[in-house]
Amino acid sequence: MRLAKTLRFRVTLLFTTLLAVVLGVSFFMVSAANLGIFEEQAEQELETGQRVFNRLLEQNSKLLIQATQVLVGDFAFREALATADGPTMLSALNNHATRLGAELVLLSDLQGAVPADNLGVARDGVYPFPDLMQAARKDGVASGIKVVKGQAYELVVVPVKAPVVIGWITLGVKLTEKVANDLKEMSDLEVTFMTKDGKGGWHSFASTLPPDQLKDLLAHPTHEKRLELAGAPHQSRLLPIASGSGDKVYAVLQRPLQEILAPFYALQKALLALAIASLLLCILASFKVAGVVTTPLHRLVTVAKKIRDGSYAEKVERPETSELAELADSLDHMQTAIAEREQEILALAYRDTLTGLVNRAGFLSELGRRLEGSAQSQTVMLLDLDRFQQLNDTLGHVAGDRVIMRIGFWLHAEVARFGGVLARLGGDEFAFVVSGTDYQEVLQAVLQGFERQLAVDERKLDVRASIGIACYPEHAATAQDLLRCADEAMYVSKRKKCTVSVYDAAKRQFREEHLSLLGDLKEALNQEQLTLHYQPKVALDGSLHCEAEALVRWEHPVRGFVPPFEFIPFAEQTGYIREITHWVIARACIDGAELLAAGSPVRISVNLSTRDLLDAALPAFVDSCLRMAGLPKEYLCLEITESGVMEDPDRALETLHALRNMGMALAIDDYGTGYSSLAYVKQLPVSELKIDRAFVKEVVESEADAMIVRSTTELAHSLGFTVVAEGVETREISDKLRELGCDFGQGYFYSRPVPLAAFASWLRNYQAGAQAGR
Amino acid sequence: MTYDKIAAGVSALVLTSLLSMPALGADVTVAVSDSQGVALADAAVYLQPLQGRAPKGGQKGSIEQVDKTFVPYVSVVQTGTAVSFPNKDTVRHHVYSFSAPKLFDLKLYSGTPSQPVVFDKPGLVALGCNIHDWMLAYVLVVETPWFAVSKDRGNAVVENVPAGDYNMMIWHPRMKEEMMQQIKVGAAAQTVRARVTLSKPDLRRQGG
Repeated sequence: MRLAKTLRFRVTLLFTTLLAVVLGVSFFMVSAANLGIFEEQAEQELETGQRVFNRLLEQNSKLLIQATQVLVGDFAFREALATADGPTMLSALNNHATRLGAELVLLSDLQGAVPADNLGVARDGVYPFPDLMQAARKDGVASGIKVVKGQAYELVVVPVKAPVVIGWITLGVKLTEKVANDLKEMSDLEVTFMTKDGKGGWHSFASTLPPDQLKDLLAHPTHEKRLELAGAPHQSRLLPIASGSGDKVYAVLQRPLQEILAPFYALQKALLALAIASLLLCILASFKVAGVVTTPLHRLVTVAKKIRDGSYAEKVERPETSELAELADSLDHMQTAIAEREQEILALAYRDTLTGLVNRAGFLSELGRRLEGSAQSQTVMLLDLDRFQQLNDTLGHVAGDRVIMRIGFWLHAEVARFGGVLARLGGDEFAFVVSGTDYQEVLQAVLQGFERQLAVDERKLDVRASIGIACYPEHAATAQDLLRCADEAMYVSKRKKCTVSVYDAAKRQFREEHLSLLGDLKEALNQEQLTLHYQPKVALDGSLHCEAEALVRWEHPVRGFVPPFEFIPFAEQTGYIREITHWVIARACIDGAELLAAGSPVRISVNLSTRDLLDAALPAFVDSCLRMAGLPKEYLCLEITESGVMEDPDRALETLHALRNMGMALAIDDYGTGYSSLAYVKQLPVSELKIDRAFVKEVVESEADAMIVRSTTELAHSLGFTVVAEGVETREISDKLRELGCDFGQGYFYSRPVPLAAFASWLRNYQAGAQAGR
Repeated sequence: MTYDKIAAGVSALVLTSLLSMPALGADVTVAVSDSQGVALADAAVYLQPLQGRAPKGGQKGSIEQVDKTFVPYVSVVQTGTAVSFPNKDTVRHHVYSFSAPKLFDLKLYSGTPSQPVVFDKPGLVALGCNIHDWMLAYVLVVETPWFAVSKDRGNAVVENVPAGDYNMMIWHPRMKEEMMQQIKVGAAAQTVRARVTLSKPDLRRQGG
């Protein structure tokens, strides 16, 4: 079971995904909100910083003003200004300015003349800061920031009163790094004083920034609120601080964003940690919760698997969850129901409904148990009733069933006496197994049982059986094989009509050979290893009329010649006979047409097997073969055996009638070997009857056989049949048969079955010779 | 400040003038008002004869320090007048002037300094006190004996002005410059109305 497909995994995944989505969304929303808040806060802080900075600047100038006011209030100073000459005045001014830490000092009178000027900033004696002066006249004092000789100065203009205004003193303090640092300390902002120089570039007077960042700032000073300085983002403000005319002076106030956003990132980290923790918790919790469902499910699955494997004793544990409890109950009921039903099915599967005996499956399982359960040897006997089909046909199925029941009944009793188990394998077949290999006693009991007559429907019936015996472990190791051995032995009994046969391993080998033949046979058809040989049927009335029987021959590339009795029954068993028959019919039609064209018209007989008779498409096939070969239908005869018809008389008769209606000649082959009577044969739509070689072989020596042949021939003639005798090996037999009234003779005396060319030349010789002989 | 004291001061100054001169002419009353028509006190008015020289007048005056204030706020004296600075306060004062017509300082003193200050050049002198920055008084030094300072109702009475043509000059601390107007003085007393423009702030402040 793959993890991804488990309920537990999916439940966990679902909850976790849901939570993750919720957490993710809230995380981003909170983050966005926080970022907004922090940025706004940072903005406000910068705003505040900016105000503080402005206020500090203001205070600086106020302080300077106050200090200057104190200075100009000094009587001696005023006296010096009012009375002394220029140089004295200037030295007094310098002295006082130094006291205040001012670098620039100049005195101007009410007329605008500049009697004292330490840095020489007044050009042509004209006061250089008219806007400041104007403000001072208006407000009493004035202050401002100006660029003087390439330096930024904080300037104040204060009147000199005595006690009315007698002049103006202007003091300037340079904006140095120290000033910037002081401002930074108080405002918590990076401070840079700068101006645009004449060439459009930027020049810094003083800055608290590290050199690399200052370089960046001077390279791209903008009004943007965010600036990248040496890779570090800064919040930034560009403030013009110079008042009035003259070069513009700017203060750039900055704060590194990293510093501003540090608490935000800390918060972010905390949030993320919280999210991850809750996700983990959720995974654990949902895994646990899902487990409440899946653990009992797994237990139920285990039970279900055991039920599948046929174990119904498993106790179904009842989970606490009501739905699952219901499922468990259902499973429990199902288990019980299945167990009961299986018992029933088993009973049905292993029992024969007619006799109540165990059936083939039951027998095999019983046999298996016996072979497995003990080291003791076992004996299996298989019984097949002789001529039961005939009995069924004549007395009807009901009577047939009754016979089976009666036999089953007493057999069961006999077998049980020996501790054996009897089974009806199907149809008229019984089998039983007894322990040990000393089976003579039970065999005798069974045989004696068959000696008794059965009374069915007030009829006394003699029922005999052919019996095959196989022993474990001598003949086979498994139940299946043992039964098959017994089956083979039974067939031997049938064939030999000897009632009882014990399995012979030598024959087994022979059968196994057949299996490999199957594959070869398929190839044989494809590779034209099959040929037809023709054996003449010679008219015994002295005429030159001749017919022929087509016999299939197989020239195996390795085995060489394979006789028909080795592969035809086998082909019949496997169903391959159909293809062989088709091939034979087609070939015979072509050969017949060839003979006809060569001026030797010969009717060719072809053998049909049992299966062919069950093939409803056969008449159509025969018809098409005739037409394709261009052979008139009177030149083809189809031979069937009695037993072939017996297998499924209804269907066989249907096929035969269809062929007969086509105008085909039909013949009964091997007459006399089966149990059919002429009365029965009479019902068949045949026109020819072939007496089996068994009666012909000793027709000269045996009066009885001669009688049989004579009476059969006479009866057949009276029914309108043509009579053919098979197995004519000598001239004596041929003559005898002519005397007995047979119409045709067939056998080695005339010719062996030979290939078409040989047959054609034989035919020419025969007809020529007969003519000559006459 | 009490106006009684100012009035006393002014009348003292006027009195000394009267004592030194025969009463030959008519009184000229100048009613000074600002551009809004509000009567203006502390306006100095003096008449300069268009023909002939004005005679020398009485040569004494005084400006008191009362409650850390100069009284009077505006004084007019003729050149050569010796002005004493009696200190009526319990604290000492350091009166000075850095004005060009008269540079002087009276170092910390109490009572009346022994030597009065002689204002020998015409012009405007601003007086201050080095230890009380707010203390301010003006002394307008003129070369004519016919002058007066307007009182609360805006009237400045120039007494005993001989008949003739005069340039009437009016000055007030809040004026940018003196205003000049020609008048004819006859035998009878007359009243002249004058409107002045005040363009400067009032610098007087009250100190502690």
